[in-house]
Amino acid sequence: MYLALAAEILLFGYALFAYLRERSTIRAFVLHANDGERLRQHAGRLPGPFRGPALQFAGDLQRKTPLDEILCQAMIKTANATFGMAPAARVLLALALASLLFAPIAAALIEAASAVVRMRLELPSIRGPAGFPLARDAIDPAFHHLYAAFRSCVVLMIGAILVAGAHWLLNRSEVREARFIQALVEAAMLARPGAAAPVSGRLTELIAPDRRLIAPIAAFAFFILSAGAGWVVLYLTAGVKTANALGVFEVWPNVDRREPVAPAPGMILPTLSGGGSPIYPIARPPPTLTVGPEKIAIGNTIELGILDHDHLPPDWKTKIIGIKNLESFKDKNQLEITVAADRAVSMSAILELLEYLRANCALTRAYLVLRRNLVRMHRSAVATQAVIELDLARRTDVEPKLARLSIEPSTLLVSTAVEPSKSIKTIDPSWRRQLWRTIQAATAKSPRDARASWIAVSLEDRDVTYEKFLEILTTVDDTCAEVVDCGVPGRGLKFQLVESEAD
Amino acid sequence: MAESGPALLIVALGVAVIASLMAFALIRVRALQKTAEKLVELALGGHADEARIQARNANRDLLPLVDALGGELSRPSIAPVLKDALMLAAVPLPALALSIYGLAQMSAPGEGAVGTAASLLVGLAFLIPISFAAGFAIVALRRCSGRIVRGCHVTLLARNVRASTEPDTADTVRRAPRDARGD
Repeated sequence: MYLALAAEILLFGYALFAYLRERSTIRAFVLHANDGERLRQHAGRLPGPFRGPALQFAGDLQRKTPLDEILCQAMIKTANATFGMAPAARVLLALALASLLFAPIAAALIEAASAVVRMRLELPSIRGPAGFPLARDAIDPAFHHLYAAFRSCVVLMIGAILVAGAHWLLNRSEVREARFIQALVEAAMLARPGAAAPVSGRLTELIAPDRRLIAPIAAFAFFILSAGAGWVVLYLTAGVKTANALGVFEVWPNVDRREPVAPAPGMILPTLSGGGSPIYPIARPPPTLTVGPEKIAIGNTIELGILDHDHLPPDWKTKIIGIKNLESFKDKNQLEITVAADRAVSMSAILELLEYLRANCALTRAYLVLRRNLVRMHRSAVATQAVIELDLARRTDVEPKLARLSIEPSTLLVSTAVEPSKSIKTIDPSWRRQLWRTIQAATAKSPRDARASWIAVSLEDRDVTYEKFLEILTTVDDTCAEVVDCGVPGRGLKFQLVESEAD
Repeated sequence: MAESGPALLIVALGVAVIASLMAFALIRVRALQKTAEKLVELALGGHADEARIQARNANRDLLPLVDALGGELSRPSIAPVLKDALMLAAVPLPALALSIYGLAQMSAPGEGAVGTAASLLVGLAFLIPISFAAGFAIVALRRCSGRIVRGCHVTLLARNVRASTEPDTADTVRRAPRDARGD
């Protein structure tokens, strides 16, 4: 980048220097038109394309050849002079310039391709949403370099346009030819004042640059159209630009199935900005436990009443008359359930229901439903639903534990291998970022192992709302550090509800 | 990496097409230079009519010379730009084709997205600089050929102006010329 910029600055300086040098040598040539010997000397100092015609011009002036003939010959020679490089050299120059301008992009593109291939080789077995964060972490640096390379290229391109503009204005062949022919005419007038030159006069008139307005108007129209086309492209790709600026990704699978779990009337599901796994359609979905202010129900058949000041109705247990209906949802004698609760409901009510079902219906796992607003590239945000997996069975295996979370009133106690004991105040505005960084540090060492790990959650404060509880869990599961929903599913971490230490 | 095969084929074909375009533009300039010099030699050697016929039958780039060969006092004009515009329009097509193919493959469900993405990136790393170089070269060569035609035009124009300002010597100029280029 800096090498290319230095080359552009050198080229700009060269264009300016060549113009000034040519102008001064031409001026000296004209000033000595009266002195034959010195005119020849100055003709020899002119730039290459003018040297031949100028030397012949000076010699013919000394030989007293008719002025008209001298000027005509000089003009013809100038018009046939080759300015700049030969055709083959121009092709080579084009290749060299392209290499110079696009070297950062080409290098970054190849680096990005290598990162993509490396990512596939290193993470061959990872499928589904859990692969997104790992893949993103693997290829993100390369794409950041690519972005930087494109920015460098834009800077280089602006430099190249300035150099080309300066060269076009000062040193293009038409300008140089006209400048020298003007000098020849002036030198002739000084050398032979009053001499007639009808042929060269008419020839000068005919080959003078075209000053009609057609070319500027065409150029103006071309640039307006080009700028318009540029704006259209920018308009059409504005969504991508916005997504890039926000750091969002359109990777959420099956986004058209927007909200598979229908909330009960009056119920508002918590809307969170990250974490959770997509809900995939399955042949026999688990029954939904609905906990809303106006309805508590299991599936469509078991109505348990309504909440009374965040408490379950006193007779709710007696209403579970259709408990046997849940048998049909069991798999290997174990029950899983989807929980859709109002965001303001306290976890004590939900846990009471879940613990009852665990004790009486072999409930082992609950999928806690939340909403996410995914920012789309070309449309407004789309609401979708995600789930956090909460394991309720008492764990007896020795699967590695990634972290332990203890949710206390206004405090979170986090314990990981990296930070054995960290206390985070949930009234602190940055608590989410602190928690995310703590978990990120624990997962960074071995992302693949972290995926298989589980996180122990103990709920010391059972009055925490469903929304707050999910906010904590999704922050742990989240893969993005941004405040805006980045559109990437969570890590797919498993949460295990454990007894509180006080118990 | 079977999924990257078609993408790499597009890249290879694209590079070949662009290289051919550059070679064609270069050969065209050389041929134009040779023909233009021959026409001027013929015209200055007293065979203006033959030169004019040859100019009409030759490359369209030499059309601006036809009037000058006929003795008219016409200003040097610009040759038709259609061929160059077509060549320029063809230059970015391989990169566009590769992008469209790559994006279509990546949007489609399947396992090939990663390989296609990698080959798309590598392909663009080659095609972007080569396309730019080809575009620049075609424009530069076009200016080169324009300069050649202009030089020949001015040479012929000088003869025509002489003929028009000195009608008595017109035949002399045409039949027994001094080398109009001063060589």
